[in-house]
Amino acid sequence: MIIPDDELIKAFRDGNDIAFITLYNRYKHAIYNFCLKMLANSDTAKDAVQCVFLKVYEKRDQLQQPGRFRSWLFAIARNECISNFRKNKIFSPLTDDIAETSPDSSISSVDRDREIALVNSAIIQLDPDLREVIILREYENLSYREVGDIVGIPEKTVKSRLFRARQMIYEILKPLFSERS
Amino acid sequence: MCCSDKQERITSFIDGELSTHDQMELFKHLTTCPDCQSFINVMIRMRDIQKREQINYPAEIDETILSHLSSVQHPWRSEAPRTTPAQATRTRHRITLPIPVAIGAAFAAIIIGFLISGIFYRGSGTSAVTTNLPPQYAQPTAVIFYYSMPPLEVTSTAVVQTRNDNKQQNY
Repeated sequence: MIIPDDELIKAFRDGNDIAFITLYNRYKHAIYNFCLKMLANSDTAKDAVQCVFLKVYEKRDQLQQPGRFRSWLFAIARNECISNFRKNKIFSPLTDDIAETSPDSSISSVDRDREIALVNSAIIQLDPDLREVIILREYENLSYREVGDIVGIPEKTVKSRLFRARQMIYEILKPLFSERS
Repeated sequence: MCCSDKQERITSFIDGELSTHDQMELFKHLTTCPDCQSFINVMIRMRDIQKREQINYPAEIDETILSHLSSVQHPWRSEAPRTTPAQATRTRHRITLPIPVAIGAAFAAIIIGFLISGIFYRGSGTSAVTTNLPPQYAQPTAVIFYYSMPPLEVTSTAVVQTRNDNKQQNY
């Protein structure tokens, strides 16, 4: 039996640590994936995930609507990534883990991992404001409304940013994919 | 890039946000536009590749989060004055009692202390108290000492008595 988020959040707000751990296990992969895609560095992503969940634990009373827990959680993760960018004064992350493969090297022998690296390298080349919407939409399957809640923009802006992000990704990937095929 | 409007619709289609009517129009357009075909192919392929990606979650984050849980300041404790670990240890063992219970416990402790001291100093205690106090107070004090002493005396005589009996039986 899966306990709904709402009940877990109520228990968590009442001080039940087991409820917090259950929520943590439920969302840790998604938050780590998001931070890793945004920051493109596993060590920094690990630190960010730790900060995110510790902030969630500390600020449990600030969650007014338990139904929007996922959006609230991703908003904290997004803020953590942005503060990380500002701290390091870089907005195009120095890649080490998810884009260590150079897209133009030995395209003919591209295997599955290489294809994944190509897509990741294309996402990393986006500006953070485009990168975050494409990650939230493509990898986390969030709705336009949820993405808008997290980023703090209207749904129309989400849609237009997604379009711009996909256009840029298309421009990057099109020559690589056509060479492969 | 041409067909900007159509490609915007392609992204809506990929997200499942396009109406049936618009989908039909888009499909018609796709049959005649190689650029839009290429665009949708790249987008679909990208999505397939994303689905195949598996990211391993670092186990050390679990350990760090769980170890930090105990050290995080709870919101409902945030208004309380912060204490050092040593202070926290001391306060953990502090017992708080209601005032009447505390007074009763204090009196009980005094009486017990008084009785114990009577056992060890029975001779001098009885004589000093009974001789210095007025007669109306001497009697209750003597009663307290009386009740504290006899069991010891009885026990000791009983032991001596039994030992003597055993000796007699042995002989």
